[in-house]
Amino acid sequence: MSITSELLGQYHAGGFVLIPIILTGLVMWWLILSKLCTLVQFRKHERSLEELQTNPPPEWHWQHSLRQDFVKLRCRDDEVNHALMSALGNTCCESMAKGVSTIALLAAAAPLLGLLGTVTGMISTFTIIAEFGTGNARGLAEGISQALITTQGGLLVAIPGYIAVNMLQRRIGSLQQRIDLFLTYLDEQPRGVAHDVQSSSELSFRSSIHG
Amino acid sequence: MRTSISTVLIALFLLCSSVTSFAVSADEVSPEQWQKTIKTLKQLNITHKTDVKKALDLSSQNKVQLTGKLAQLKKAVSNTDIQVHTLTARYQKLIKDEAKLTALLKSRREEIKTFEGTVRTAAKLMQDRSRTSFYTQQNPERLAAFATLLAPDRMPGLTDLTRLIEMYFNELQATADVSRYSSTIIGSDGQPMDVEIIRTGTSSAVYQSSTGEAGFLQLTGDGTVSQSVNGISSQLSGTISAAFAGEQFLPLDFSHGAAFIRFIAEEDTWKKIAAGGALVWPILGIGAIALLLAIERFITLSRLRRSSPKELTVILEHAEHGEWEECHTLLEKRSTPTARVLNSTLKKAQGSAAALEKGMEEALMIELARMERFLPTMQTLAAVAPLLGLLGTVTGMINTFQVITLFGTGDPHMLSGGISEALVTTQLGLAVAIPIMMLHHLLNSRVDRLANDMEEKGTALIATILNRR
Repeated sequence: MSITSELLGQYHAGGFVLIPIILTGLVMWWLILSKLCTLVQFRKHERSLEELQTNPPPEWHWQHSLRQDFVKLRCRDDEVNHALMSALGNTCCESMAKGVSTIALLAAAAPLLGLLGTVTGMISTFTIIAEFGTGNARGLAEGISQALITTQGGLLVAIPGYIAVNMLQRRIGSLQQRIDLFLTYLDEQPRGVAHDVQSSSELSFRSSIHG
Repeated sequence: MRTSISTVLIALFLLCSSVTSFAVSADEVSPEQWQKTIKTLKQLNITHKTDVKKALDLSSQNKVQLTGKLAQLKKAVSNTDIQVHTLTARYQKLIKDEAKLTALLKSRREEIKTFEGTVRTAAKLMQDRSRTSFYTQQNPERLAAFATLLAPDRMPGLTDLTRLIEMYFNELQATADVSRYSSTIIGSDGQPMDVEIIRTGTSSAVYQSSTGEAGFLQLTGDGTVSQSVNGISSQLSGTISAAFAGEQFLPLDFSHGAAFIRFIAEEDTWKKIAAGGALVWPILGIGAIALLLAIERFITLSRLRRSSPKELTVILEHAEHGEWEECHTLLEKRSTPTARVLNSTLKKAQGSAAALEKGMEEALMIELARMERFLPTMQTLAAVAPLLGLLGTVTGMINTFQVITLFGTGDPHMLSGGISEALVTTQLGLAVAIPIMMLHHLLNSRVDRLANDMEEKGTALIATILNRR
């Protein structure tokens, strides 16, 4: 109860700039958490290259769709195959990394909003000094507290945001490597086999015969 | 006594000398002569003895005398000693008394000083209070009393005290009454004006002139002069006029005019922004330009759609069977960038793999350039706006400090007014930059998605064409 009232007090003291800061923080954390959930989900159902033959990935997984696309589109020309691999890999990676740049932008915007609030608070402080002199301590304190609380809020949003962005980017970097590895593995599979197969179980069956 | 001893000695000397003279001439002296001499000597001995006796008597007499004198003197000395002791004791006692009295005097003096200080502080408080009290405006003569009350080299007496207490009571009474009187004020045009005034308590007063002008009053200077408050709404002055006619409630100002300062200051945010100086305009210009660019990009990019996967399947099917004409007609109908890229790839359908890729890359470049137009400009504008704001702030600060150089730091009002104006540009710069940044991000991510889509579909088409061979 006391925490709630304290937060409410902070909110009142922070002025109108605190509202966009809080919104930024909420949106940012929503994006971070949802992105993290997705990445963890994909990682959990990802099959290793050895495992792929016996245990096919679920249909919503990028491994499944990437294999479908690649198998459908691959051709005899190696150069075109490489271009296809990089295009498919890029698209897949982009779709996985979607939203991370937004998180980074929000984390960068939060301290700027804090600065905006600080400047607003300082302006009100100096305006009060200009009007009433230095005698009105309460008026001064209001502006200064607004200035400090918004900076505090901005930093509180930005610092975990930056850390989260860093973590997500590292995860996506390793994911990109795994995608590249996966595509190379697909490229190494015999062409005729992959071309004819419709279901992945059949593919694993045939390729095991060939192997 | 000494004289008698010397006499004896002289006599002895004479005796000896005569004896020797006798020895020298012993053979020639007769016995008569000897008899005579012995007689003389005997006589001399007798006289001498008496002399000695006399001398002894004399000396014993002297001794008695002297002993008595000594005793007398000793007594006198002891008497004096006693006297000295008593006097020293008295002296010590007096010194102690003096110290006690000095301390007392000091504490009394401090008490008096405290009293004087209290009276003076009270008088000063009263003076400050009377400067912001409309009661002073009604009775300006009350300020004269402070000249004597606050005179530095004068000890406040009982009359001063009574007068001060009376002033306090008057002020107290004045806070509770409403009085109506005529006086001269400074009008809104700066000219003196004879008006009728209603004073409510000591903090608020309203006026109405003979021409029907009505409004609030605020005190200036030492409290004896009042002037009308600017910027009162016509509704408010109508209410005041009605109050003079005795019809309505009287509007009150509890803040001694401070509310009006705030009221006038918050009247116009536009004025506040304009007070930031010359650099406000470029910042606003940047904001306007960026907004226009963003709107243009939004309209352009929202018209460009991603081709649906279903379309692509249809086209790929046609391409698989080598039906180029149908592909062309299908793609011509669509005006998406992806369709244009696919179309330009299809034109090279008979060429080698490298020619196909080249055709796609060319079309991609053209489409990307078209989509990314103005986006770098927006980024630059977002970066420049806060810098311009900072520049404006520094310029404003320099002006403020020049004012300090000229007039000193005496006036916090002027000083902080300058700083507050200087900070407006930073605020404005940030307020412009943050939305531009967000808009740029939105547009940029949309362009990225479109570009990826184009590349993926183009590569898929090339692969299909090559597979067919």
